Amino acid sequence: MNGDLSIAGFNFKNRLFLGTGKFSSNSIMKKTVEESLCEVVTVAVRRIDFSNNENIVSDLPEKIKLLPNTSGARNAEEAIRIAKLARAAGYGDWIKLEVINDSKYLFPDNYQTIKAAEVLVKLGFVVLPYINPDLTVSRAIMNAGASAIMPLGAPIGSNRGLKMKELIKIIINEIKLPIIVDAGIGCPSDACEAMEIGAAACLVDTAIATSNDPVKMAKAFVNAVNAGREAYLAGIPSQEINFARPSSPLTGFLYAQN
Amino acid sequence: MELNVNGELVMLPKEMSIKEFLVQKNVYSEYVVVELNGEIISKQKHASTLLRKNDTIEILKLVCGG
Repeated sequence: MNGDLSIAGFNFKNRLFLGTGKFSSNSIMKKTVEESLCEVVTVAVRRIDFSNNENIVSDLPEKIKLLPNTSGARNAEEAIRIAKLARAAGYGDWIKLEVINDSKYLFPDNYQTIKAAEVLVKLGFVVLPYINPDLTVSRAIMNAGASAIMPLGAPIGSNRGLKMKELIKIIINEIKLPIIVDAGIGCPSDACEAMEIGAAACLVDTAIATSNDPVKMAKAFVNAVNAGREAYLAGIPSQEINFARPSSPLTGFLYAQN
Repeated sequence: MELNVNGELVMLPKEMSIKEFLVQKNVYSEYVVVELNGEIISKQKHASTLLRKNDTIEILKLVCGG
């Protein structure tokens, strides 16, 4: 469909992907997903708590595309195991590949991510790897057969915005895959900024889930993502010039100009 | 008999199927993922797969996450 984001045979109209973590309740999370009309949400895989037999998937709209993550994986082997477990839940073979062994910045291990991506693609997964933006790593991941690349804007949960903007721009310009900015997006203008430079989508969790009104904030993000996307398609004029250029005619002045 | 369930040692009175174990724990087969001794056991096989002494079982599900 025209204008839709296409990944592995699925078409999405809404370019805001939503993380489901950190909401104050499952009911607010569910309402946020429903009212924002998000089509893709991330979930995690964890050992069951026998005192809590809730199934969050039953709280989500039926047509939602689930994107389980491999959070908790510290290396490629663990990520591959978690991905297989996620797939066994029966909601498809998409996986957000996330390999983190840095507890301070939660930066992904790009090398282990490449290794895991190579294996998971061969096992038939639709792999969306989360990376620390790097063009060489992105090329390796693309060559491995990943379906998108998810570079971080800033550390997870930091709300610091597009600190990695220049590197993300380079990846967008050089890699022919959907580039989905994930992590660090702190406010709608950050998401708009990501879309303006050509990102295919944004994944946002903390900034929405921990706001005072997640439903309202998610809608604000959707508007921002749409605005950024439309601006990108319209063609943003050059911002390289550092002097002024008048917007009104240079003739017919009432007063003589310097 | 002793087995390892989600990283903890658990005593079961006798051998039982995965399904029986889950029912006993008030958990539904439909939304959990079971890995027994490193191998994922599909939901269809929960009723026919027995838990034995010294088995290691992981019972997981999808939860909220970013």
